[in-house]
Amino acid sequence: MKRVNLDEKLIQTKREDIINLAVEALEKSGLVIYPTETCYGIAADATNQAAVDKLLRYKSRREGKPISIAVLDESMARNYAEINEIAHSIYANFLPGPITVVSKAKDTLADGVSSEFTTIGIRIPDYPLVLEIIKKLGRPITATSANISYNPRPYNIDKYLKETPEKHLKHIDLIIDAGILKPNDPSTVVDTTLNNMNVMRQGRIILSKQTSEKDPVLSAITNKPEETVDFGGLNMLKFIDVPLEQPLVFLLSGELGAGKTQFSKGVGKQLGIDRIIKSPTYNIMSEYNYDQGHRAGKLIHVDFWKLDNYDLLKLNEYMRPGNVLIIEWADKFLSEMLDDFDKSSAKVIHVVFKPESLTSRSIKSYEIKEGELLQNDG
Amino acid sequence: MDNTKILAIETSFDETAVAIMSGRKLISNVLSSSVDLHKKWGGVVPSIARKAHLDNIEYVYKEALQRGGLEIEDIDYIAVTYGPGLAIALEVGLQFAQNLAYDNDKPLIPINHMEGHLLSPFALNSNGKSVLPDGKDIKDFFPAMALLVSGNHTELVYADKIGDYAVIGETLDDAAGEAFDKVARMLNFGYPGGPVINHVVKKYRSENKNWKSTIGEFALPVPMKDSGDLNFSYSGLKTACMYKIKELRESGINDSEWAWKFCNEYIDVVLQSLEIKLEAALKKYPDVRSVIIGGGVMSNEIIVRGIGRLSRSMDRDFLIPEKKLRTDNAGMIGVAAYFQVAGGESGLCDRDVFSLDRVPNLRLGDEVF
Repeated sequence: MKRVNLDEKLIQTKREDIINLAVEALEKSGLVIYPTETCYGIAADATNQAAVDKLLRYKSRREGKPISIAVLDESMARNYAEINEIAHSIYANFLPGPITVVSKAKDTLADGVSSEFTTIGIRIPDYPLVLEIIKKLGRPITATSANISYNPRPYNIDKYLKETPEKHLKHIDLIIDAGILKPNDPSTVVDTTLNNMNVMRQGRIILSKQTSEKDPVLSAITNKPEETVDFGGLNMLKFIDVPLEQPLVFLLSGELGAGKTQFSKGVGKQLGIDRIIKSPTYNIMSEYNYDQGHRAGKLIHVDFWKLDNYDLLKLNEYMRPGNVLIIEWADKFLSEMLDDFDKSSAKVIHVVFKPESLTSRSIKSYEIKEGELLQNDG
Repeated sequence: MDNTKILAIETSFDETAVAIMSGRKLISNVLSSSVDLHKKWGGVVPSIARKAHLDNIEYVYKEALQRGGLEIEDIDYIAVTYGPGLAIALEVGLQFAQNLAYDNDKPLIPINHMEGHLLSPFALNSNGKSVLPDGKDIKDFFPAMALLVSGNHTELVYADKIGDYAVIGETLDDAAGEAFDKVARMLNFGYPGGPVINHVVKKYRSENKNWKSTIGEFALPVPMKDSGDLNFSYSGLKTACMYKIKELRESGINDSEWAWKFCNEYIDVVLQSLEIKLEAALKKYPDVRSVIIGGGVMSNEIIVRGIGRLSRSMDRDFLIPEKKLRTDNAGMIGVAAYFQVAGGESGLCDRDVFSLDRVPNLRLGDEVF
């Protein structure tokens, strides 16, 4: 193991040498400890299987914990991961910096860094020396913290050497010592593989031709939240007798902030529910009882935004007479729901929210007949 | 010293968590998102689908016992979250806890998730250290005002004493943490977006020492500023953000030109909305001696600093749980159970454990057990 000091004053003369030493070690499947803006990291050539195996032996007891990688820029990242629109936005606007961007991995990295159907975390360290090493190497390096499993993240090389047993240290080829690093938090991990853009763009529910050409049963242009609440109430009033015979389902389509929760408040108000109807985004499903004499049942308020498995929710058990369901982000599991609508003979109302101007929105409600609701595959 | 052993289970949303208390000391606190389940399911962010697999909780449970150096025989009580939360998620922990209690003949203590957040600053860490100011008894901090802010909740709770709570203010629509995620979404930040907004703002403020002068440029409204009550609302702010972002993008300016400043202003209006209500609550309840914070949004240091400054300026002790006890975890459930047991609660025994049902919309003060 070789230890070199990265002293600010010496940088001009020794910087080139340090980069060469690091690249040389990495090319020989070696492990290099290097400074970053968060803590000391450990580098192996992320495309070199022998190097990654050595890293896993050094770390010990990893059991499939992900190892992130550091790249030079977005174009290098594209060689190793599928960079979608969200990931691109983060690369373009906020990197380099302490953010690890999780994307779907391509099959171009050594096993243990990524594996079949797995994701990969990618960073661009805000530390010029590291970027120069990656540039010279021409390939990504691993960006996991330099400590062995269960030891503290290292900010100080002397302390790290004391804490790390010799049998682990023997795997290390080079340490680039930049003194005591500022104890910054580890990088923020952001997953860009969830809720991918195509799924999450609203308004993908499409109707068969004759439906989209027909007139809405109700429509309004609202300028204030209270008006959207009132329009929700009007919709419930229009279909107030439906739950006596069959479940009533409102599918809401509209962008974030379009007024979907306000609409739902109106439906709840019309049913005489006095509890506060809140956004169900985090709870996924909220349940409210209503009782107006011969009309009684549940209002089920659902939001698919954070849901990743439709069947778990067992929504079919709630599709029965008496119940009113409001479903936000319904596009996400539309095809799964079609079957449940069918079996429960649900009455389905599709409510479409569209911005009209910077302060107003148009809301149109369509009554859906059997076979009119189609899954958009595009 | 009391060394009653409590094993606590929390599965109210996407995290599967098990912790062990020895008295007030938290000796083991394991989260599924931090243990090595990655390879099995892929991805690093907790997910409902992943948590629903019962083998996850089995794994986390075993890991918690192992890290605590204990066997199930050493445990005196099982504690479990029964609400509020997502029904299908609560069921996972509840069923596991019921079977564990019944099979091993241990009493079962039902816990309200929000009480866990509220009592989390009273935990001792595994070295027996406390985050409380020195020289005071726990009872000296009550009555307390808790500001609990997460992706799921935004609540002001008046706690007369441990076990006696009243929700005096809450969100009428979105929780503050949810608004963070959704605005981050509009900005194309990925998930979870809150920490990215925080990162962007920290960097912006460190590079622009006169950052205060840029606040107000986007005319983002401070929610519920003049509502005259103690409630919160974030859906209007979210809508204002949507229109503003649309306008900026339509004008053809690159996101990188304005997103930094935008996030800076966004955090500022969210903080102001929390400060205004906390200040009003402390004025309305002058007997309150301390401010307790909890919930995932309280991982945001800019928000925490603001709330801390306000609390101290109004001469209240500011109680801030350890960072890992602010987001959902089982340690806080264990702390709440500790205080219940210390207060004489004996828990459900034998077949009675199966009478416990999840209550997805449980509120503080409405406990049924």
